Amino acid sequence: MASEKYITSGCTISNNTVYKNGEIIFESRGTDVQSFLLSVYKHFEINYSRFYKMDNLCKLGWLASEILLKDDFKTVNYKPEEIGLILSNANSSLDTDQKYLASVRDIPSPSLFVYTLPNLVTGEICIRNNFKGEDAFFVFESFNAEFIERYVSNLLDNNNLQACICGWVELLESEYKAALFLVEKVKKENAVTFTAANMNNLFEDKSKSPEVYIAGVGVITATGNNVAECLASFEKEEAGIGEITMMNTVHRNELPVAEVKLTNKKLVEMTGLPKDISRTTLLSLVAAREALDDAAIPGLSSLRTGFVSANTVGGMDRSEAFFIDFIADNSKGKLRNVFDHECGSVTEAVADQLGITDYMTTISTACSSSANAIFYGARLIKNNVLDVVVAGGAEALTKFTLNGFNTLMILDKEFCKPFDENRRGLNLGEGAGYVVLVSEKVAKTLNDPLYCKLSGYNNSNDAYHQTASSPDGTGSYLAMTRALEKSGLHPSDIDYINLHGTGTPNNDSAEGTAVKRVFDPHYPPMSSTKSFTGHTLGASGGIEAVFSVLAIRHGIVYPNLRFETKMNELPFAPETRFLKDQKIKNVMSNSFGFGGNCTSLIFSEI
Amino acid sequence: MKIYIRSSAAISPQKTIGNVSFLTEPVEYTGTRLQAIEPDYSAFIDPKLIRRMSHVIKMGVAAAKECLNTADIEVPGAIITGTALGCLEDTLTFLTRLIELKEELLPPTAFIQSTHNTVAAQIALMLKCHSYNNTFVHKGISFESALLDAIMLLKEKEADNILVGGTEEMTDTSFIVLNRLGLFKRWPLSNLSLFDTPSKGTIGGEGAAFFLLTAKPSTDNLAELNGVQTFYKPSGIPDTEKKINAFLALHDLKINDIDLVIIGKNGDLKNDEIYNQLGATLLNEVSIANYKHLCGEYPVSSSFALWMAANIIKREEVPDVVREMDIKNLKPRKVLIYNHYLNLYHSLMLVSAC
Repeated sequence: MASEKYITSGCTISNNTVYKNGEIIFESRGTDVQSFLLSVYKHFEINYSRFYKMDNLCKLGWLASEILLKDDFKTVNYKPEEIGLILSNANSSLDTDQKYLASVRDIPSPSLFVYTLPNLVTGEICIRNNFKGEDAFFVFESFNAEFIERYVSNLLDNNNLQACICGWVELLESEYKAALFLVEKVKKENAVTFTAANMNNLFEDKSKSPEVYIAGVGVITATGNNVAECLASFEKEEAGIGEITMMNTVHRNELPVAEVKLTNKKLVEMTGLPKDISRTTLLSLVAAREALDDAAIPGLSSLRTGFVSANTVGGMDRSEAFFIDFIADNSKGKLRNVFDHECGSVTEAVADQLGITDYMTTISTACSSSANAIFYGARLIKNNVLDVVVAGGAEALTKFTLNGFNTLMILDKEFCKPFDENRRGLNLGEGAGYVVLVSEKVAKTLNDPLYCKLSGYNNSNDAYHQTASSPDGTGSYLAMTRALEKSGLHPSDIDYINLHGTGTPNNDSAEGTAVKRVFDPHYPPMSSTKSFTGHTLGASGGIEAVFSVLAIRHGIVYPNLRFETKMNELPFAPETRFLKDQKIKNVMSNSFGFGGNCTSLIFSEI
Repeated sequence: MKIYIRSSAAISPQKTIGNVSFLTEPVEYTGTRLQAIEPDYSAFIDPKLIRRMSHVIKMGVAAAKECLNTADIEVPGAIITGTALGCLEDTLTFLTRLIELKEELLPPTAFIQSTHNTVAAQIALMLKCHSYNNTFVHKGISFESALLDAIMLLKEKEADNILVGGTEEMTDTSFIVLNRLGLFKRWPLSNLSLFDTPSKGTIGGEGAAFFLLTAKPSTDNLAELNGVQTFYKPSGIPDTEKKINAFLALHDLKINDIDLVIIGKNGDLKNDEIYNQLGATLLNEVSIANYKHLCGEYPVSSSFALWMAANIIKREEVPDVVREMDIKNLKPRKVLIYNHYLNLYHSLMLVSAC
């Protein structure tokens, strides 16, 4: 029977440094191994005379176990037979073997000879603590977290053990490293799930990365001008797709799109921005302002605040107007219309309105742009560059993108049907979506409850083709698995996937294959909200991040509209109903784009 | 954690790529548009692919490849680029056809290659590099944003051997539009005498410069990259001075510890006023070098400056053509790059000898 298992303590000793649970607790400079180990022994005021008899490998492993178990491990909670030890290294007892061999030339040293076995380390730890459960010592070329996870899980799941110390103890001449993990079935404070990825993180001495929380959300799409309206449309299962009404294009009445239901004039009134500004800027400001208001951060002006926004064609809607006149005569065309052509201009204009000056930047990686903006924002907080980041993206419909996707023949002339066997393509949409990310410190000052945290993220590249996805979904598979690794979660922990799900034959096939590779045979509910909003390109990652966050807050799963027939190649189908009152703890949001850019984000309940 | 520039390669309006001397034979231009000197791309890119690539893609991919070759790295741990305008040529081609052909029967190639991340994507595709891939497109700090991302990735121990670069192309159309916007000088002049007669406007440029950043020390490293910082809309010269001093203080330095300051003067009166004022105050005792007369003004020109700084440190020489005046230390060990973009975005990069 599989049970919940946690790493309740971790200790790493390497490079003259002792880490406990990812934090440095002792450092010493420029000493040899022997004296370093002695300085650790003395620093932690351990009194155990056997220590002086041990060889260096045993000293290292034994010291790591002492530090691992000190403070809150109570042996009285277990019977001696219930505690085991599973260790490993690359060079067995070679360090002492060589010393023993050198001693043989004169008089063979019995005190060295007894340590010419690696499992003496496990022995020393068991003697000290009276552990009597299963123990073993394995030899691998390098730390094999996957093997240790499987082996130890088996012992714990079959109740051979209730607690196990496992890991790596390696020492050869001046090179050494110990990384021990205490695995128990009870969750303690600061415990992390027992996974290979979490062991690897601790093994690599990656100091514990600070959490980044979501404190506010804002969104505008074809289904609604704010969070409440978008949520209401989901519940009513009303898509925002329809005929083109605003753009002056030959494709009117031919290609459906998902327009935001506000004219530029109305958006200008709402935002107070100048009337000739790009629609992308207008949409961006509406959603970013909603997010920042929603977060209601006390004393915002005294915090280091940033704006990381994404879009793919900047002020293209205005540039199109400029170029009509310019092409006819290079001295014509209103310069004001081309002045904000750059993607960065959109970000800058909105940051100015929000009063954000500490940091701003713009990301453009096609349709994964704003997912990348969100986790770049989180990393700015983790790296202590900023305290608060408004992150996401915006995109308005343009003739440029409409015709671009049309030339690729991936626009559906009907309403799109993501993940359906008979899907024919995507519908373009427009909108903006932003989350407000805050540091642990800022989170403590908020009056309103936080939404959730960003627990995992990854950006991987498909490296297959400029526009098409690889048949086995390499990039999306890597993004999903590495994001899971980052979050320390198993695929089975994911309660909902907000798919990229554009509705094109190629994307849904590649993404579906990758989902199968990651999740088979246990699929969480999943859906593409692009069946409501259309594909909003550079805004999609931001908009769908907002929906993912709201899924956790309200316990909902969004329906995948118009789905009829399961894809032949896939064993699963998307969720077609609006589900309420669900227990949604972890949500994965996928965003994939041209250039092979694949990004997955994972949001988790706090 | 120390971060090093393992290697660097630049394609620019000067002879900078391949086995060439270090800016000893500056190329003179007499117009207001400096165009990159293109290498034989077949040395870097599969000839079948070259044909389909636009100017900026070729420059970017070739500079990236040369940078990796020099470092003897086949596949980097991440690819990050900065570009304000992205693939302009393809963007404008598609936009022009869309208007001229009235949205009918358009060929898709230009659209496909118009996305801003095309250069980073093409490098990944060529190297089959599945790692982190990102593109920053924020005006005059696009390159600095990419650099900050690379530094954070190294600090997070998420990746090593990070390829980071700045790319920008000037097209005939963008030159005309920028000219109409008043960016360039109204009469031709020699780029080599750009700073002699201050007047309104600058000269336009373009280029691609790539860097391989690593956390591993090596005698082959060009220089140490101590840090990068940007700031927005400073309230005036005193504020700018305060920010520069604060940046230096982060690295336990004062301005007089800096052997050489590379500044972003571009010949435009208003633009250069800031450097001139600082030259009379904060920078009045340090040695100064210029670079925009060599590469022209463009949003990621600071990547050219970083290429120059890394080479100055490694080669222990300051080319004559970049010296503003007598240089106190001919083998600078600490170099500060200070550039501003329209007095909106200011950036600082600190590089030192390993």
